[in-house]
Amino acid sequence: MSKKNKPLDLDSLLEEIETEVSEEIESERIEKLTPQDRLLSEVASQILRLERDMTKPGQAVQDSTRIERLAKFIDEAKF
Amino acid sequence: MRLLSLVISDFRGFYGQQQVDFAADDKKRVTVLHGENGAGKTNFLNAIHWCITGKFTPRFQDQKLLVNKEAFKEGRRDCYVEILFKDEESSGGKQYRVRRSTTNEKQISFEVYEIERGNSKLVDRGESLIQLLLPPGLISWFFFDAEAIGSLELSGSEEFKKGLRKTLGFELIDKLLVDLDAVQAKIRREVASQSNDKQLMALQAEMDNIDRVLPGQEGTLEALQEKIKSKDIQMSQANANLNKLPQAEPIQRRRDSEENKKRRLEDEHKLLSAKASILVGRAAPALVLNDLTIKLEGKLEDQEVKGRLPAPYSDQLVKDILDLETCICGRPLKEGSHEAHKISELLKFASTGVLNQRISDVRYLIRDIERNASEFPVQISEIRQKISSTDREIAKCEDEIKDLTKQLQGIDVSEIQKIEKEYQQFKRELISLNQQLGAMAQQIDQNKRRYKDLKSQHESASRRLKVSEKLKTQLEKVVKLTDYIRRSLQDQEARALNILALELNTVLEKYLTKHYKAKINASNYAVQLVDDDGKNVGHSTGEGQVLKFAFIATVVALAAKKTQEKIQWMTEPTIAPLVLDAPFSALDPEYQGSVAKNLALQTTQLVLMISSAAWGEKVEAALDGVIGKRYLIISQEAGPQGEKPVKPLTIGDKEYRLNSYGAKRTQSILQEVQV
Repeated sequence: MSKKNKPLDLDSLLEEIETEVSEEIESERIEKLTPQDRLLSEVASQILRLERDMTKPGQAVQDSTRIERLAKFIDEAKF
Repeated sequence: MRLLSLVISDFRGFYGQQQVDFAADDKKRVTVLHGENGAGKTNFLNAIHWCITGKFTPRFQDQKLLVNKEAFKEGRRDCYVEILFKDEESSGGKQYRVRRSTTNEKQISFEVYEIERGNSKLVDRGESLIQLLLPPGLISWFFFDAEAIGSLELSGSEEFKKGLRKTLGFELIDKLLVDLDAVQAKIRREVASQSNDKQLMALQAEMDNIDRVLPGQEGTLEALQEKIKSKDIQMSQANANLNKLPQAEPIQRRRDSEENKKRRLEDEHKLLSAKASILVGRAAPALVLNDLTIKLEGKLEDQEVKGRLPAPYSDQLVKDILDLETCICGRPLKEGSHEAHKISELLKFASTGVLNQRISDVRYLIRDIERNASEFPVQISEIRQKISSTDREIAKCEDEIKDLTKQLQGIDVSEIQKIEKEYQQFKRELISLNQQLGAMAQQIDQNKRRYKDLKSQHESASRRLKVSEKLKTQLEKVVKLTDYIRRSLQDQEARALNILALELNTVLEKYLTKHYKAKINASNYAVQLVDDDGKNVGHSTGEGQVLKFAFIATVVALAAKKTQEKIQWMTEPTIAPLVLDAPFSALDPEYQGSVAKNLALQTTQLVLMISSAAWGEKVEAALDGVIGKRYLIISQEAGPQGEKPVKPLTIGDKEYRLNSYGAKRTQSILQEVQV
């Protein structure tokens, strides 16, 4: 199969580098945390994602349902 | 989101159906609309704002007169705006068409269509889709009425802080924290009911009561803030109306300037008071300890004079005697002998390097406390003097304002008196609203403090009681996670403000001729421009105006995550066009070019509505190469020209006319100029 020569897309390349760098910075930040804080950081990110999904415009759930789900999530999370 | 085109039909000054195509390339991303005052720039901005959000910018007047007057006379009763936009490539690159239509009385329809291979498909819950792409909290930053740039409050109001928090992506975390508090409350209720303890139940009942009342109080607070905002706008409009009247103009201008001065002084007063209380807090330990340290130093010196502290012999001397087994008088000293034992006991009291260091540390500490104890009162008294002098200045301003108000009321022109009466009425209403706001804020604060207190009583009471381990663990876990998130949020907030300040300073460094820097107060988000010596530079100066434009561009870049550093936990990036109405008229000409350049650099798509007065070579040169589309908003008047002027606009080597007379009807015409 012949490989087509694509023009160099500088913007996407820069974006890719930028994403990689910020991912690296983030993993460095997590490495610096104590094991307990690392665990909490992970759980905090997960619960924030859950909150975001439950409050998305058009997909928002009722307040009471949201509180129930958050309580259940914390109960089941190991930290 | 990138705007592709807009169709406007019988909306305000735009008669019939007219279309604008926007520049939406990564490179050619700027659309410029040239129009004189009153030509329809604000109407155009509001057409976009309204079509997308259903609302108008705060200064948009006569919101119930939307249908074009000429069209209305001809029997047409509705108007519409339709926008074609596309999602970012990274989010799928889908195209959508939004259409909103209304009569002067009520909205008729709002529809969002997804366009796929030329076919339109109606989107279910279109409002939600738009809110996802452009969160309501961010709209005022993206569709910005730059005529209001002068009143952009960078001095740290609660509303400003709230808006900025939304932009930085903290709204979701704030919401999560409120929900986690609700989870805690839920578990506490279970604890109370399981324990069946009277005290715990009573505490829980009081907490539930506050929980019930607080959202309502916070809602009232927000409503009051909204009312104050619109009252402020009404007041400044009355002010502007007074400014237009020749008899009142000079007095009104002086009163305006006095009121601005008073506001600035009041800000300064707040800042100084905050500084004073910090200083008093820092001074208190030094002042309390000073008496004790004087006594301690006396004792220290006494012991030194007596040769007891440190001991007149060192540990090394004792060790040498023991090693050499010879006393300093020459007598032999055998290991294990009574004499050797006596001498080795001297080691307990001998001076050592560590002991000497400790004594000298204590001396330094005493000196430090003494110095602070003598310096703090001077500093505090200096700040108090500054506060009193600010108070005197404020009182002077108030007297001057009263005097000018009397003069204005004394002018025997009914129009002036009518507007002035209106102005005074707004002012009274504003004072009353501010009082209500203060009272409500105090009630909320009291309730929050009481809740905190009840919570800790609840915690200690429930520890004593027999409650299942499962419930206790559940509660502990929620508290632990909430505390962690709250702690992390504070770190992230500090980091976000730091990034904002860094980005702002990069812009200021590049574009300002003076070496000014922006500082952001972490507690109230106030943004202050300071000079080389750290002194505050007013927001009304030319540089202050640049700061405001730089601030808007940076906030938009932050929301789109276009900044170099990222903030953890920020919500999804919001990529949307920055639409600015009449952006440079408030700016010093020397900065117009650099501000234009920065706006184009920091945004993914830029729509500028600009008058000929604010358009010059520097702006033209700054936007060279990035303008993809260009339109004139021509103001056509049905009446004869008479003595009235025609406003020309030169672009390159061509001259265009921005207004004309003797037209078939009075209207605004959108005319494309080839780039």
